[in-house]
Amino acid sequence: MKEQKNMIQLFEDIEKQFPQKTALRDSNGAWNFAELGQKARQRARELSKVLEEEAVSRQVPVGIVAFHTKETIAELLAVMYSGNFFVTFAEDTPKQRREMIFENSGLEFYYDGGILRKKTGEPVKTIESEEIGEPENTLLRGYQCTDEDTLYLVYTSGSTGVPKGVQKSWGAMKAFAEQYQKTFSLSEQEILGNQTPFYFDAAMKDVFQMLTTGAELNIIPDRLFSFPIKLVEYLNEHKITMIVWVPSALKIVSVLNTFLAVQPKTLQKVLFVGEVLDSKHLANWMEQLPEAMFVNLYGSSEVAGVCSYYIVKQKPEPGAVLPLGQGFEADEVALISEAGERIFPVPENESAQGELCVFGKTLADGYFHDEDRTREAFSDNPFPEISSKKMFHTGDLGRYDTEGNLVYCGRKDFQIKHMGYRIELEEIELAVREIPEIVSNACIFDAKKDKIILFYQKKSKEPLTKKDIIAKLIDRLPEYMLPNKVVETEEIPLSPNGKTDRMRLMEQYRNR
Amino acid sequence: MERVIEILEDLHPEVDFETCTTLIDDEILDSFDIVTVISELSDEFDITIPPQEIIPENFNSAKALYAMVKRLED
Repeated sequence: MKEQKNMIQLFEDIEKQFPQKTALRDSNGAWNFAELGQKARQRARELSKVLEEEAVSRQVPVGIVAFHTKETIAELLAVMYSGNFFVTFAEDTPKQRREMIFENSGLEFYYDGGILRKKTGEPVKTIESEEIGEPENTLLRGYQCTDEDTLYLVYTSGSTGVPKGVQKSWGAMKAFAEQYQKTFSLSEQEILGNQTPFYFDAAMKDVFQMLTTGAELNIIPDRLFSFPIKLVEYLNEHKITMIVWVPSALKIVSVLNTFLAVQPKTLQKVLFVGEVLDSKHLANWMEQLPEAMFVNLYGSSEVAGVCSYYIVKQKPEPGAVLPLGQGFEADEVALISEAGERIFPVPENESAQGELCVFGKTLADGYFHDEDRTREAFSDNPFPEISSKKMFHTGDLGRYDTEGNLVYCGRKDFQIKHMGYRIELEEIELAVREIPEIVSNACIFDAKKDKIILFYQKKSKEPLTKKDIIAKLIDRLPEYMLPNKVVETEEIPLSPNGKTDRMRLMEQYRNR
Repeated sequence: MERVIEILEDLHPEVDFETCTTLIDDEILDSFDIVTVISELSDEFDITIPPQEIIPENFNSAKALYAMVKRLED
């Protein structure tokens, strides 16, 4: 029987094979694999001691304020070594949201840029290990973690106003890392240019690719994404071979005509994930890099990594929509009709539309401490021909194109993708509802301009400016959820059954 | 100048663009904002902003943006 290694053991294989090879690089320099391993184990020992003193014996969540630095990755690996699971969140997460995350996950400790703190914010005195070199690691529980153990929680927007903590296992991430490596022939030779912040679930692909294949993870300074000439120069200077970016980041480079001034030279693999990339911008990139592979990835926070991919065959025609392609494994993604039956590709024809559902080993375990919402989204798999215990309902609609590729056709609900983030419009509306001067409100999304538009009706004579509204929302919502446009209106239109009539709002907005 | 400020205020109503001179240094404008600003300025003033102009110094204040627009209009 094949020896089953967990991801800590896979990482240590890499560390032993390439100790001096660069693992991580950020604006403060680089660490090789030996340094990363050593730092992570040292932090893990300190963390284990702290938890031991608190008499914690089961797997517990440990928070990590996710900075775009090497240190954040060392902390994440440290939590794995300690046998616990991590919960990342952004530094500027509003207080209210942070409290909800702390409460739902039950976390008692969090890392904050190299400092371990209690949930109250008070720093924990960690005992620095005095030994030079590394003591025995037998105490670290991470070596014993199995596929079923929880690896991390990632919080995502929820339509009830309470974020959901998607719970992912060691086994799901390992299964994904193996598929990903095989499909795209990933080796230690890759130099990965990371764009996605580490509190963003999409970034975990980059992190686990580095940990399990020995690729270099080059953390690109965020500022460069505002000044694309410098960004492309950076890619060239650091000989970046692969990028997995949100389409908006690729678009910035193309839309500002950067290629007139500087051309990317070292990229071989360009992958994008999170939303749709305009064919025009994709074509611009493909012209620059005729030899490179371009891949449209599709996934959901409820799946480790991504679940389908489409390798772009040729430069797309203007206006063409890229397919989502196919699952990494057969039957990983299936199309299910409203009647609950499978929809299959029709030779040389488009299929009917259905909901995209995901199956298999990479599925998350559900939403942490939330059985109701877990049951709604993860049902028992009713299809005996698909080997999977559960079936995850993405809420995304799709169909098969004439070549049998899955194509995205929109949402079943009011979830949107804005700047690569997944947002429930209802969550914004609930936050606006807490402003006492506002009578009612509704949000719509202008997908073309990538803008969230808030319509509100205020109590008459209340002095409330648009500035005030945004200022109040900043305390409640992450920055990417703030409305881009705020419009005062006399009345929010309702449909006959009393729900917000978003279609009519959209018309109002367009006719302004 | 007023139009420049209007465009910026649409993105960040909470910022005082008349006085702020650290829009980039203090990370008030992110990369997505910059793309929006560039496309709106291009439409509004009928100019083409070449990639060489997209540097931090030109985006730190409404005044600097306006100066760039004037330069490109000529």
